[in-house]
Amino acid sequence: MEASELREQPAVVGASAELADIDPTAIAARSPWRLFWRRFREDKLAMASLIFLVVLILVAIFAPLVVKIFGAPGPNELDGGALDPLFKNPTGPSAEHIFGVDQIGRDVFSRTIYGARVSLIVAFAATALATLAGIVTGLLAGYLRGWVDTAISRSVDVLLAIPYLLLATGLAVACGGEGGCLGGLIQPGLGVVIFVISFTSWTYMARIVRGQTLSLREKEFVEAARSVGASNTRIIFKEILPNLAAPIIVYASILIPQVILYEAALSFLGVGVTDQPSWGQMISDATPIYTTAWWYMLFPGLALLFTVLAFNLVGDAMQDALNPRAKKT
Amino acid sequence: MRLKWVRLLVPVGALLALALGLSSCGDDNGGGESPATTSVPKEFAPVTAAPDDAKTGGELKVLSAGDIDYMDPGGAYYTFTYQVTEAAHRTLLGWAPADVEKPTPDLAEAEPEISDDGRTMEFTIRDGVRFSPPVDREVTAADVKYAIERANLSGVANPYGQLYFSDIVGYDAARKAAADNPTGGAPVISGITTPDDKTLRIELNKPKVAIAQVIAQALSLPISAPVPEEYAKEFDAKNPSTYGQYVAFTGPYMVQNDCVDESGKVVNEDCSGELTGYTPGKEIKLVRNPNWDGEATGDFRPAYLDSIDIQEGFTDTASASRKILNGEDQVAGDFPPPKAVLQEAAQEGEPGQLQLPELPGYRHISMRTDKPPFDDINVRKAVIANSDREALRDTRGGPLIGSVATHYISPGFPGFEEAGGYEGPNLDFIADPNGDPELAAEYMKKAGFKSGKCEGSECEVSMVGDNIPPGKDTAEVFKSQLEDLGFKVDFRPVDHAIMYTKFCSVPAQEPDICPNVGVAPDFRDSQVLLAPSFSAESINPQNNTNWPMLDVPEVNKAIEKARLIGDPEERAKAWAEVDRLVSAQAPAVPWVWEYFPIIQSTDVAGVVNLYNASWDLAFTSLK
Repeated sequence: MEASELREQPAVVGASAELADIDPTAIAARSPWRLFWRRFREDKLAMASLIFLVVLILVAIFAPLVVKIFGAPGPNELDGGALDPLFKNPTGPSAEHIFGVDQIGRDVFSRTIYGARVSLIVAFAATALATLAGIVTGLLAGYLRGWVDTAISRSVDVLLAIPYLLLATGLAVACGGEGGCLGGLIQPGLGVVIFVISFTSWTYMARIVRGQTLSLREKEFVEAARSVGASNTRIIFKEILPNLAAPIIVYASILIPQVILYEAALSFLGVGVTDQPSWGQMISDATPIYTTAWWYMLFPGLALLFTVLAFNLVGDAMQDALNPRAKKT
Repeated sequence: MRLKWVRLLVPVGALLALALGLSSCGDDNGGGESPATTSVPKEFAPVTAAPDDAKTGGELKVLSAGDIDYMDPGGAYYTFTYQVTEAAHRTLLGWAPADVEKPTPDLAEAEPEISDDGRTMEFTIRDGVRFSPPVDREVTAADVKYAIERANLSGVANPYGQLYFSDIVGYDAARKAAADNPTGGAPVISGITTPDDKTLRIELNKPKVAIAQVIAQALSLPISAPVPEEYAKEFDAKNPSTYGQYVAFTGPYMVQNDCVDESGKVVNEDCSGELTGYTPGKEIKLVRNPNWDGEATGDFRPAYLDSIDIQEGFTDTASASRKILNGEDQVAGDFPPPKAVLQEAAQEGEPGQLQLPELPGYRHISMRTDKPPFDDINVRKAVIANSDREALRDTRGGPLIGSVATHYISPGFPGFEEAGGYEGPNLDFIADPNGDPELAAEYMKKAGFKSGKCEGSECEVSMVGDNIPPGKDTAEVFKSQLEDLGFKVDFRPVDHAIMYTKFCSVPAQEPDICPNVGVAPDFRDSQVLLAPSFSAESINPQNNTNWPMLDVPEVNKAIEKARLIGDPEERAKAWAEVDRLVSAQAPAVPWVWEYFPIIQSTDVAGVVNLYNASWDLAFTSLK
């Protein structure tokens, strides 16, 4: 294990002259995660993005406090006095409302802050569900092969053939009614959005995991485990799954920004989250009036842009850090 | 009427004029700094007559967001549909642009003769009125009789016949027969007879002049547009009727069919009459009816245009409005400009581009009085007391778009002044247009909520409203007001039509609150404002219009009494009394008596029909 780690250190490998001077006992063993972190933090842009995301998560968690600190009203508080006095149109940034107000006098700053909650909850929950579903189905298909593989793979093919936004819109409408869907398991609101997004997002993860599993199950260490009588469950969870960590993490990190945009798109189409502020819904509401109320589209738009960008940069850096050889090529 | 504006001064001038106009109106009515009562600034007053030098010819381009409900005049009911039917059909009585109190004789030579005892009424049909190709023949009284009779067929889906005609002898029996055999042809209504080709006689069950007068007004609706039985019966034998695809017209315009070309010239003698100019949701092409001779047949419509092209599906009403204002398109059909564009139209538009006809009726937010928590009158009073109705009005454009409603009979309707005028009834819970949270808390305490806020599971209420502004904004504002009072609101935004057809008009599916319902009466009689909305008789499992499900014997009795009164003064008083009784029950939050902003491009001389609060296509011309 230590030897392989050393092989991955270009500063050490090949520097045989210096190597001779190093006291072997002084070389500290580093876990793969420490190595990952060491490589990741070399990417300054990714680090900045990570800091941004940590701040964003904290802001979302402590949204009421943040809003209070800035002296802004709650996201659903109406300030009719802030509307244009004659036509009752939204007004722009001012001392009272630093991001301006929307068409019914709600504070855009406050709504943008609270909107982060929806984006992040949906992003993490839907990605987690989609990832879990993808791992389970991919592992089963790749390891068991045969009719299980055929059934899962064809199901994935069918799902991928359906325009996902159309499917999601249909599901959101079907589940958005009173009583929800799946016997009430999926209730209207945030739950529907998370369900719809994860239902249409697990397929790529399943394909990736299946492909990797098909390859891993033929490796010597799996053969070795099988030869000493390890059960299928043990092989899957102890031998194969740990080796899938890198691709799973990389794809999940790519999935998060996609899910955020997905949620925004659903909200924009009017089938997303409606009972609390969300960036997509704000952008949708701002669309007819963006020429006169630019602030209403700009601030949630920027929040969405920077969040997705940050997740993408972090995802790229994670991919590079987990797979340094790929980076070099 | 219209001001001469200097382009550069328009923004400032318009703002000043509007500010002065609005504040002075508010002061006149005691509205103070934030006027609840407004009148239309004169620069936006609707034009109801064509210019003396109106040009003939040309094609008018109309943009609409939605579609008409039915091309078949028997089913037509939407305001937007009426724009088409007014131009393409001649009903017994019709609405000229400036008519507000009573309609003008159209297909009928004169107003009906009502017998002294009020038991019979007679219309005389004009000579020379002919159906469009392929029917081509002259209209007779039997065509009007058949039009009314076929409206009972479920396949025609007429929404109001029963409301107005159930006092005609044999009407209910015919309706039942039609329900029993929907494809067996239109059952005869024995009380409607045609002694000769030109006379239509209607006999009533109750010898009351008041009932006859209401029926006469109802015969200004598209239901009295003549339908040739020999031509239509094969279409009416299907359920739904397919007559809507083969309509025969009598007005100056017709929807292009396979008989005529784009200029209205007959190009195919061997045609079926199938409409080629109507693609639902996309386009309605109106061309001149070659069989119309307005001068010879006493039509009050001048019909200046050669053709009218209605392009549908412009759901982005902001960009559609801007296209009209900048001259790319010409008039808005069914949508008002959104608030932002309304401001642009008012401040930067040329004189006449924005007009504000009064929309007859009112908007209200209904609460279900038949189930908790709104079965408690004190909870309803608390909700009304707490509601900031000016904030609700702001969602549609603020003071410019109308006055805060204080009760149900609208300005201009008989009984309005008697019911309290703009001030409204003397009821504390509706007195403050900005809401009175303290009073609301008192009413909540009376309802048993000690904290003055709603508490417990019964305070979780459902609400179904519009999914696009401005209706969605109204719903959001009201939701916020309810939450201030302690309610937990489950708001479901849906398409406006679905809001009615699947939820608010279906008691089995109806939520606790419908925030986007309104009453646009068929004519200016307070009966049609109040009876459909608050009479127990209007509660139906489908197409219900009594959204609050109000069933109060005292109210029902007062409605029954008022509808039988013929004397105009007494009738106004009686309906004002109904209004007072309904208001005291607090079944809904009446929040605006509205003007309906409509826009046109600078190359159009648009004429507004006040009855319909929309452009009158048969009076509009191009400059």
